Amino acid sequence: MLGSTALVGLPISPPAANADTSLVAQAQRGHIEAFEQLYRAHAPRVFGLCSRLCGDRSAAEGLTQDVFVRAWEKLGSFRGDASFSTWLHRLAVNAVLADRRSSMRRLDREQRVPHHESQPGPHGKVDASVDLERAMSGLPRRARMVFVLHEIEGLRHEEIATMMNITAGTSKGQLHRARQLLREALQ
Amino acid sequence: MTDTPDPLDEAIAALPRSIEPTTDLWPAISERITAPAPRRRWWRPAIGIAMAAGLAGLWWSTTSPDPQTGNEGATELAQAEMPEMADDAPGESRSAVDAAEPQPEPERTPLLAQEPEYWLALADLDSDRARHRVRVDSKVADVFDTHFADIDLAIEHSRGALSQHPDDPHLQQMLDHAYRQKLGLLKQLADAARRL
Repeated sequence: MLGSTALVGLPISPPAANADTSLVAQAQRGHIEAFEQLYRAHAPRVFGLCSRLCGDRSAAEGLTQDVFVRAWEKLGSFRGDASFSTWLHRLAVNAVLADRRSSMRRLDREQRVPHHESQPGPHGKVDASVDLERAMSGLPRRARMVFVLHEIEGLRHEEIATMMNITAGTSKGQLHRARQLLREALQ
Repeated sequence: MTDTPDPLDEAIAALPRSIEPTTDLWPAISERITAPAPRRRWWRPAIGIAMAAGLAGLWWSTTSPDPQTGNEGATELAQAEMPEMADDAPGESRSAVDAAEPQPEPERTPLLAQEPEYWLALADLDSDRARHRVRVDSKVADVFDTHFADIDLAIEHSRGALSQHPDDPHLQQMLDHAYRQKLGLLKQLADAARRL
């Protein structure tokens, strides 16, 4: 598993964390410019998470917007017990989990997209990252979410189980399934 | 034994954690967070609760046999067709009729395009409501009264909110739905009276 502490303490350097603290304090006082800087610093990470969780970049853009709007609305309740990036990631995961409309769109798309869609590039050289992204987006929804949260974001099965309202055993089973499907897709 | 690296783990390790959105999302976010906060729509849950309570009560009343009369009115009411208006029952209590007599409505400005049509249809059915009411079992009549009160409240709240937000489609839909419910309930009452 990669980055097992990534979400608990996202990999941000102390100076970045200090900068966040200062910007968050200003944003909490209503300074939109400070919030924009927070957005600029964290949007790619939030977008990456949303995009991989929902497997749809277009939907991920809307979700990323929702996450930052919600963050602005809830900034008053942020007390700094966790880092801002951790808090923001929690908002993002919750937003994706709660987004039923895009779930329906994704379900529709998943039924059309075959899992084995990875193709070598024009020179026969496979770009592993691109292929993995593509293969991930073709995973069944629940398997993809568990895979992203566990393997990329570093959550424990118990945390994933709580978030997704499933058991830890189901989370492990979905991860096993996802890895198997991805291996087949990447062969 | 030598561990061969798992190609999948290698591919995961190579994934960038961040992905740039294809467009700058900040302008849309900025617009959303600087827009004036919408007025708190306190009436939405209130109407929802009133509707839910009314519908639950109606369901109960139409699916529970009356212990005194054995009247299984609910199922019949639910299956009611358009009523044929019953004539006045001989000897019915005038005080009961008066009690349910609809009060004249003050002049109103339509808030929905189809609202005048609702008013006409409701006025037709409402004029016979008192007569129909005294024909059904008193407990059933009480249940109907409760639902009429709930629906009237929903109409009143929807109209009040709609007068402030006349273009709100959700409110328009809510008011339309409340009118439909009242029409349906009046028809059910008429049908219940006709079948007895």
